[in-house]
Amino acid sequence: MHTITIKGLTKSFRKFRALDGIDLQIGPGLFGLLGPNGAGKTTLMKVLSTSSSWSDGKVTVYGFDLLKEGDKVRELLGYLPQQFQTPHHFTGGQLLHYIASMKGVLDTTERTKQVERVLREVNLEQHANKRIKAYSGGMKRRLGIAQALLGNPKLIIFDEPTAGLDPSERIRFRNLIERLSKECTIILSTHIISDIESTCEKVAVMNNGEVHFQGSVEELAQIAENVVWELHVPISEYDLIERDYVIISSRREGDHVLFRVISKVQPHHLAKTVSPSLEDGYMAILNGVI
Amino acid sequence: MNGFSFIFKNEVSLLSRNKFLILPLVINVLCWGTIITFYEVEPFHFETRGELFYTNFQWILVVNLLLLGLFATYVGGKDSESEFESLVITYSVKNTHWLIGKWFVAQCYGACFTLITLFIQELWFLSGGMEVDEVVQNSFYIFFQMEGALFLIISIGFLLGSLIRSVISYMITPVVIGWMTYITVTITINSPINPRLKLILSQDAMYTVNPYSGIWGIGNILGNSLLHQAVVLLAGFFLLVVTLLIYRPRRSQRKEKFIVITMLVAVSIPAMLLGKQRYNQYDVAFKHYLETGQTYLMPLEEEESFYENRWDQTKSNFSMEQTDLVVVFPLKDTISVKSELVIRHNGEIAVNELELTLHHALSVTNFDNEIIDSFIQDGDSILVKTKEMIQPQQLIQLKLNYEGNIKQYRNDALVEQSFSSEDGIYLPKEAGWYPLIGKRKLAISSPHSHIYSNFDLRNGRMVETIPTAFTVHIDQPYGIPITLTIPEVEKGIYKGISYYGLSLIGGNFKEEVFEGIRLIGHSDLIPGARNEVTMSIDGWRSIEEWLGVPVVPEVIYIMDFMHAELTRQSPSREFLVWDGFVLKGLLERETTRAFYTTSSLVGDYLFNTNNDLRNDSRIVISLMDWEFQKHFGTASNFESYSEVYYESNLAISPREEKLIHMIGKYEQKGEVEFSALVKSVYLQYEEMEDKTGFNLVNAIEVFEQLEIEGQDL
Repeated sequence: MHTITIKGLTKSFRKFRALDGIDLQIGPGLFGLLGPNGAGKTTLMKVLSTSSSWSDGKVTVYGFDLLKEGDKVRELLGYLPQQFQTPHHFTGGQLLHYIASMKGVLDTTERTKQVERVLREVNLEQHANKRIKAYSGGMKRRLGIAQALLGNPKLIIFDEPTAGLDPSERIRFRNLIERLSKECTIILSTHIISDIESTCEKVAVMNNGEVHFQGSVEELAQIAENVVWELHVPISEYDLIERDYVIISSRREGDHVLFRVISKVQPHHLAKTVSPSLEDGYMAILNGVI
Repeated sequence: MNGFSFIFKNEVSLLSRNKFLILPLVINVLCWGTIITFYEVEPFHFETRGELFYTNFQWILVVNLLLLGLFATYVGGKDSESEFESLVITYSVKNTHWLIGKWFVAQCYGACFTLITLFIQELWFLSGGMEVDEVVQNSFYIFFQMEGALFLIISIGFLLGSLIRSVISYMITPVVIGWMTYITVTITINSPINPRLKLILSQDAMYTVNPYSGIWGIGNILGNSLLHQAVVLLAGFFLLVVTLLIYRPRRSQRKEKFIVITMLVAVSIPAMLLGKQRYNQYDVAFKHYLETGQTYLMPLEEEESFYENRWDQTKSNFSMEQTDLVVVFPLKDTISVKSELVIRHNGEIAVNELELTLHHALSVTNFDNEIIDSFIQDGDSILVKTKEMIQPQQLIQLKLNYEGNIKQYRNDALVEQSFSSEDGIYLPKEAGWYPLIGKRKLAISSPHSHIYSNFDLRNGRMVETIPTAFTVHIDQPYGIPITLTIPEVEKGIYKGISYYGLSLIGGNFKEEVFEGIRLIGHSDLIPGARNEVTMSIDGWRSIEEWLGVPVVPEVIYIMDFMHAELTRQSPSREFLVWDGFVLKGLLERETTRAFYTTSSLVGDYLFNTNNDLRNDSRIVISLMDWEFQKHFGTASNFESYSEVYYESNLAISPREEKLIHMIGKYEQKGEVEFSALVKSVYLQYEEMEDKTGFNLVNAIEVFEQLEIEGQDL
């Protein structure tokens, strides 16, 4: 069952096509959206969050037509934009109360309960009464995650949620969305592959406003089967390898370098195929190797 | 609590943390504190508390409009600039709640300015001895003037801030305010711009006369002003609704859109109806004014006399010996009068007709059939035909009843020349509200291409040749204090002899007799007027003693600038009209006092086409001025009159040189001789019936002859 259906979604900024006929089906649980900078991820997130219009195509969210029933979609929505800006004169707690009321949580008891819960979820309870202007970048990001969780949303969209989070908070976030994904649809837009790898079941890869892949995380990794190679060459050949192949990683070992490259053909007579990872699949798609 | 309340509460909480927002309020209080302190420490006041308040209110309001316009733009656009709005629009909050909540915060901040101003006004007026009900009325007026203007500018600023996401939004508000200020300043009286444009101002600035500066207060203009401000308030609502309609229309639900469109219609219809009504109000008055200008338009050949300060001394073979009036005010701006006139025939041959002047809006409804055969009312003139011939020196008694609307306008209909209402009555002699003898010009209009109305209109300058004994019964339903240029002998009955005539005023004034002079004006100004009388009375009396002509006035009205100016054109020594500017000017410059007295004694023929008369009158005025200055001890460092004259007049004709030489001889003889010459010259001028026949060379020669003959000068 799909909770979100996107058909032929197109959005243009004058001559530039930011989204070019996007077709996506997203079901309950965690859905990862991968893509390089400028791929169109944020534009797609803005469209889904009702904050941006589009030129063509149709989007339904939980059965509601996004164009005609935007207000219904907003009642289901939790959204963390890439740039999370808030009035910094408020304390964290006050801002969440304000936002909860804008999300329609008008009952004081219920609102207080929700605010306390989301503060706990993002580990900001201790800082609830501190002015936002005194928050660190990571704390502000966690506040952004907290506001997205208010109003018990059924669709949560996170655009680059872990940017600026320290490792422990990142893990906490992963655990949180893992738990939430059992009850709702979560779209995680990021270019940090490990975030997707550790949490998402389904994933899509976007580039230049188009969807290049949609499927499970395993399928994305499998797509690079037999095109991922490891080779051990003298350091003097570094420039040659870098020029001719897509390098996933390289590690220096004495006067040699160990490369992990993507190539349809064996790049070197000493190169050996290795088992592909999610990152390999992603890079293979982006670089047109597949 | 609904969504709107939450937005409002939180936005208030947010803005209250911005300490800079208290600063403009504190500056307002400091400004008012300074203005009030400076006023209260002055020993004499030349403007009422209300006048000073309103004069300063106007510029403070412009500054506040600018501040609040920009503030509203900030409130409307701050979340867009900070990108918080891009998050808010993903919430389920309605556009109407989000926008109205923020708009209302800006309005509440604006209301703080209004409340502070009202608080200061009430406190000051009450401490100044103003009655509570009057203070309430004043506060009501200021509240609507200020709140209406702020309400509109905040709505404009908010609209700009919400819809224009660039710095341009901050530039439009100052342009709008600058434009409104330009209109206020530019479209003054007799400007070449259509005065109707003033109707589009954010506050009612239709009346150039400060509503607080006179004795009529704001009651007289409150109705019009409230109507204007009602339109302004509705315009503010209209702009809010437009903002709701245009702001992210995709976000609005169908029901929300329907409500907004309904609101738009609900606001637009009354705004248009009231706006039309307000426009019509002024348009009717302005057309009335245009009609007046056309009625009194003078022929081209007489045009040059428009600016000449010549007194109208229309000769008549008749004189008004006695005028008894019973005046009733049946309706607003309407009078009904029963008049009994005793007229003497001063001519040498018997006639059976005579002319009277009565304003053309007053219709004769009844006349005495025993004496009057018939009458023709044509414009301001009434030609009465008697049944029997009127013999020379015969006294005849005429009875005329008349009634009509006495509302008249001057100065692009921005000033009311005469009116009656429950808040004030003004019936100057120049309004022609009682019969005057002869065919008189109540007003004179001259073609003028640089004025929008294409004419310049002034009151007639009517001077009577003999005094009239007046008895006036006044029955006015309004219960306001009224007074006339003749004193009240018992309740509602006024009796006295006057050269000037009758000028009736009713309103908030105080009357007191000081040094035998009736001082009538706003209580704030009476001490200043009393002081001026104290400063002038010795001079006046010594001039009376020296020249033997009456100089000390019997009654002084202290009125607003515009009405004082209109009446000042009607010269009179027994009745003076002062305003704050006069009082202040006289106190500040002693020399002005001498000139002021001189001008009341000698007519100024500055614009007369007869060069000799023009120069002669100028010399007589300067001679009198020089003498008075010496008397008041304010004479400048000049040694002689001729030195003064040569210094102040660049182009001097041979005839003038001859005159200065003739005068100089007497100055050399001594002060007594010089004073005797000035007195003789003046008295010869004074005694002439037709002043335009005055010739200074002849007058000096007469004086020389009298001196040779040793006759009494």
